[in-house]
Amino acid sequence: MTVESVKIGKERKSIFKDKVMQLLPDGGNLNACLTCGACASGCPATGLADMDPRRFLRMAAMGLDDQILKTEWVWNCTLCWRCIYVCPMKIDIPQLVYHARKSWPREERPKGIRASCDMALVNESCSAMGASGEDFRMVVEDVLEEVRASQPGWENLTAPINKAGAEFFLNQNSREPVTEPDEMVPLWKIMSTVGADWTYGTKGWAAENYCMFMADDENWERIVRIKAKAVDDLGCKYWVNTE
Amino acid sequence: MSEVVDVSGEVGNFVVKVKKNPRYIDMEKCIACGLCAQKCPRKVDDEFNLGLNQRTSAYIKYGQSVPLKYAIDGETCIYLKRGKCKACEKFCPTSAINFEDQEEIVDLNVGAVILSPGFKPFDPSGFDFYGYGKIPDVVTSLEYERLLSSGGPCMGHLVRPSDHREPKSIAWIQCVGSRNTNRCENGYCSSVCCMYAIKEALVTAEHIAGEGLKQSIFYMDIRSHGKDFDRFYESAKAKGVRFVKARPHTIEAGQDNCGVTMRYAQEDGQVMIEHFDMAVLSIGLEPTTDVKQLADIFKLDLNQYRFAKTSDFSPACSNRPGVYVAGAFQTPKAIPRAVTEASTAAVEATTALIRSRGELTQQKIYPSERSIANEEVRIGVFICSCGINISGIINVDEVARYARSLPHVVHVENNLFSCSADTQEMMAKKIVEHSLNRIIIAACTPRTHEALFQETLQETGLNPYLVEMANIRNQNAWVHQREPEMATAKAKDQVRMAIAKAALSVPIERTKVNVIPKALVIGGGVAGMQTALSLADQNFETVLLEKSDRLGGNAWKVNTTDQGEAIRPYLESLIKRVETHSNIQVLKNASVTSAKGSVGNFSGTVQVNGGQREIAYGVAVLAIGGRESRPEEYLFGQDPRVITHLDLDAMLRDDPASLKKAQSIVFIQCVGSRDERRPYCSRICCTHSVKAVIHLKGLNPKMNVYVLYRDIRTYGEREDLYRKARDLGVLFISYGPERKPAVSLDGKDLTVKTYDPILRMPISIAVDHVVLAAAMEANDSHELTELYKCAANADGFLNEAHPKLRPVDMSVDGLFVAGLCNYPKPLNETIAQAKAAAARAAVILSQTEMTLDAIKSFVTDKCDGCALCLDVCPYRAIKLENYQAANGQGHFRIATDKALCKGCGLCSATCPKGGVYVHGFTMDQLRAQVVAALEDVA
Amino acid sequence: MIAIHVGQLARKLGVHRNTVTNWINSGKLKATATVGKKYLIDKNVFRIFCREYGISENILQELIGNETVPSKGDLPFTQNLNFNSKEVTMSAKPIGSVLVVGGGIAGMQATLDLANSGYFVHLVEKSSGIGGAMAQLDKTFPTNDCAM
Repeated sequence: MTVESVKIGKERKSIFKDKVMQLLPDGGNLNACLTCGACASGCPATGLADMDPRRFLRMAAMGLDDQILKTEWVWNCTLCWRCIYVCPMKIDIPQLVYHARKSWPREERPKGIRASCDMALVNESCSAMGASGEDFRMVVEDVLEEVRASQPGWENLTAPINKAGAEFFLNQNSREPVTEPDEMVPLWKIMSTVGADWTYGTKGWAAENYCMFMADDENWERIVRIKAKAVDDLGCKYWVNTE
Repeated sequence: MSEVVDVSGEVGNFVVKVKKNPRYIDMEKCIACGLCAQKCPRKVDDEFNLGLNQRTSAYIKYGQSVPLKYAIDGETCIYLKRGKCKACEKFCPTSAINFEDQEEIVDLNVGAVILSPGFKPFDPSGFDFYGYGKIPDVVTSLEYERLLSSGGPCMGHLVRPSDHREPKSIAWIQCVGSRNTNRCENGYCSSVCCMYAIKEALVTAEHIAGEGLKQSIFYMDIRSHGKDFDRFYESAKAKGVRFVKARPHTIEAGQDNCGVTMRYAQEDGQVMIEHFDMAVLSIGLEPTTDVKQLADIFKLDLNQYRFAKTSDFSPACSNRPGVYVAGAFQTPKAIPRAVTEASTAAVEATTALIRSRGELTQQKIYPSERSIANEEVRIGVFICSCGINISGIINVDEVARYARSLPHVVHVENNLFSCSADTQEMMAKKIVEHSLNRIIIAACTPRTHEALFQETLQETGLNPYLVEMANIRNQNAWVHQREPEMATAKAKDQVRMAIAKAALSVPIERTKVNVIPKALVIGGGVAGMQTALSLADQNFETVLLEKSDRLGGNAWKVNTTDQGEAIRPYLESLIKRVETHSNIQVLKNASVTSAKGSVGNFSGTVQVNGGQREIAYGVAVLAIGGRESRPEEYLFGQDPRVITHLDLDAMLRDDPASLKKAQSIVFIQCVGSRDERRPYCSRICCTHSVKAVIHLKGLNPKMNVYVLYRDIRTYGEREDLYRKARDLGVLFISYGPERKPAVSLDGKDLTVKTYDPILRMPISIAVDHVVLAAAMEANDSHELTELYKCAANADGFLNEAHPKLRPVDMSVDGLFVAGLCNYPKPLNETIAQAKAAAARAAVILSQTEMTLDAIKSFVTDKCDGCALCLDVCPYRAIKLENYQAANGQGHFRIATDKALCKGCGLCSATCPKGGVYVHGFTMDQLRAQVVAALEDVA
Repeated sequence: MIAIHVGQLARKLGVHRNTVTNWINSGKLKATATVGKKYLIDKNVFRIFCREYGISENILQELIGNETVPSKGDLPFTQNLNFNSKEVTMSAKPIGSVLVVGGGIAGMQATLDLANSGYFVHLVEKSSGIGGAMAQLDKTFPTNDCAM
């Protein structure tokens, strides 16, 4: 089967890549690729969707915007930064991927991520699983009670909620309170052992931010602001972000 | 032990303050016996072996150090730091230890300075993903050299650090600390790592016995751009070294922390996981740590990578008059260029100080030679222990006892180091005391110290050729380490043989030849002109021949140097200087028609404008240049839009507007190079391409430019140009020789088709122009090589005598080579080589006469002119002439040219009549040696 | 190089001109014939000659006025980044010695070239021995010669 040649006209343009370069400091070094492959060698997503970071960048450089803006590889990438870490030219492939994600029409973005983002926007918990502040409080108090009663030495363990003026505001990934509540406890014990003055909140308590993964900048910002406000409202000094 | 701390003054008169750090060992007394190191209790990391093993505080840098003297490390010595120990002092047999030694500051009054502080190997500890420092079997290339070296921590038996087993699979990772602006600031290419990795891979095969050795080199581009470097690369491939165009992300430790595991993506995207017994990081070359200090002291300009900043037109000159730079400090480079460009720096200094040549040096004066004609043979035998090198295997006492029993021997002794200065003094005394007239030195190879012993003899009034060496080190102790008894027996044989030969030795005269202080330079391009100027500035009359009617050669056709300096103004100024210089005679439309003679004394005829004239000269420099070949592919010659680099440069000069209009241009590299017809790299094309594309993008930023390449060879700081080209949006697409691009015409449309291995798709590019990097060829040198009996290599490039030790000398004494005719090179390297040729030529021209070694052939009466020897002489030093014998009969007889003859002995071996022998190696002497060798055989 | 006429030298040395000619022809005094019936003699050679024949070295000093002068071309060294060498005049005679910093392969080669062409060299090396990085190599490319 002969593969069709990619026909490159005299006026080849790489619109997408150029656009992203405008947005990044030093153009993200997006032109500097030596095609050495160090990125592809370390990328956990290399090979998925017949793609890897080196090929992705090359297609962008060639102006094959049609293809790279449609490949689902951009959703296989986890923005882990292994590529840019070893890249001799420090090329910002993660940003290229991110902007590719952004170019997808919202409703075509992966269903799971989209649903989680939408869910997080429902209330001020920002929980991708739809848990409310009250749900959260109830689970925490329930588990705490059990620990105090059944674990020797931990009778005085605390898991404060909405403690105004606490030094640390701890957030919590929704998965634990919803499906594996006991997994929250080790963190409480650590905070207790180091003598930290901390608290959970009922607003902005969920640590995850699926809108970021969705490349939905607006809602990403919105969620972050809700969380930040929750911390400020309680007068806490530090936001301990567990994500 | 010294460093420069300050400098004042100016060229012609600098005062340099040098701090001499204390050695704590008196160099006059030290005989390098090694006892101090043996007794020293304090161990520290051995920096020479890069910390792979340890040395003591009392140490010698390495076994063959010059000077061969020990030192005490003041930073770690227990006595110097804490007032306890002094074990070395107790045991030193010559009381050479001097703890009172102080730092000394001296003022040196000099006319010029050459800075060659070298480089610092890149430290990859910061590259945490390679595991250097954590994974034991990850080493740097320099550490690997030490592991391979017989003087190194494993004594040459290569084992891996983790479990000391022989590694069978080794991976090299290229470009560690070079071409990297993410994890370090070394955007440049270190120039040497590709070649040294290939060398290490090949040399490893000499150290690992048996099957199963697998060497793999992981690279981005293989930069084998020097003379014969591509052949080296191809031969490595043929020998099974695997070249993988990939870069691993992380190196992980193997099982039990032995060996390594690497994951890498091939060019086609496939991910491979491989285990290796060892990984070698090919580290780059950085400037030394004290380079900032040096720059401050000398007020030197450095470039952004802190290497010396120089102009391409004067590569050895710094910004400060009288201060010159050489070696890796000027820019990372390999040994051939370092040696060449050291000569360049030397000649710059020479020329600045020309009025004082010879002022501060002196000729050594020897006592007149005594005649031994009427003396009986009295032989002195000096048996060297060479520390423990020899005496550790051979029983030197036994050999000495044996020697005493041999005929003619009147004095025998055993020295620890026969070559040391104090032994020479003692030897001279014994020669006089015992009236010795033949000396045997049973020690190392003549190649190390024969000249030294010859001098010692001369200083006592003996002819230098009355010393004979028996090599009981390289040819005995070093190779029979496991058989000491047989080694001792063999040493006795060797001494006996040497004595048999020496008994027949007679004094031999060294020939002196006059030197005509005039130079002939053949070729009026930049190389020829720079050489001529350099020689002329040193007050040597120079004749410059140019075949065409115009000086300048290829430089007329090239726009800028690699650093972007404009060539035309420089060229015009250079030509003017040459044409008006009172010591240069320029002959155009000229060529050499005949040549005879030898170093110091050449003569011949030159054809100028149709007429012949005679010339006489002491040295000749060949700078006949090269040319761009005409491609035979890619529609070159069939479509005017397909052009070469020089065509492009012409267009950029004369008609840039037409290029500005272009929307799409493709460059194709390696057109006619690195193929079967020309299996070499033309070296300058990659750089020229990136310079050209940058220029084109400057004319029209929207232009789409593509470069189709096999390896991009922008070495050194030229890498910055490659980076700039990419940053401007130029696309570089690689291709392999088995899948070359194609240029086709479709109606009026020109298209270039190629396969992009990263896209994994064939692409077809519509273009306005195709620029071909046509191979460079040497200009035809057949006539000259015939005339001068010198040689060109298989690719037509004139050969230097030795690529590293004598890179501008030719193998015929008195001939030098410079420029493109030697090998393709950029303008700055041509200028450097041209000046270096002048430096080397000046060494000859600055003497009024030259002394040649006396080991030459001589003709006897038995020669009857059969002329069998004529053809075997590699130096064509033999000719046939008419001879009138004593009885009046005329016949042919050979005559040998002492200047051309190198004493190889082929003539003597070929002659069936005893008509020609070699002084110092006559048939009688060799026969005596053979008889002596077989004495014990039944 | 000193340039002399036979008669001139004979007068200075207080000998017959034939004596001088004989010296030159027999090779006792090495001189090269040049234009204008002059002979070129190397200063060092002359110094040795004087010593051997018990001639005062003052003669040498007197003859230095006959020294061949440097060329009229541009001054020898190329000035920094401007290839048009500025004429930098050195008022006094330059010192005929050079300092080489660094005893690696480049430093050693430069030292040898300079010494062999008549300049005294001070070679400064910061470690305890010369040889540099090349001494640490096992073999060298492209010939695979042993580095030592």
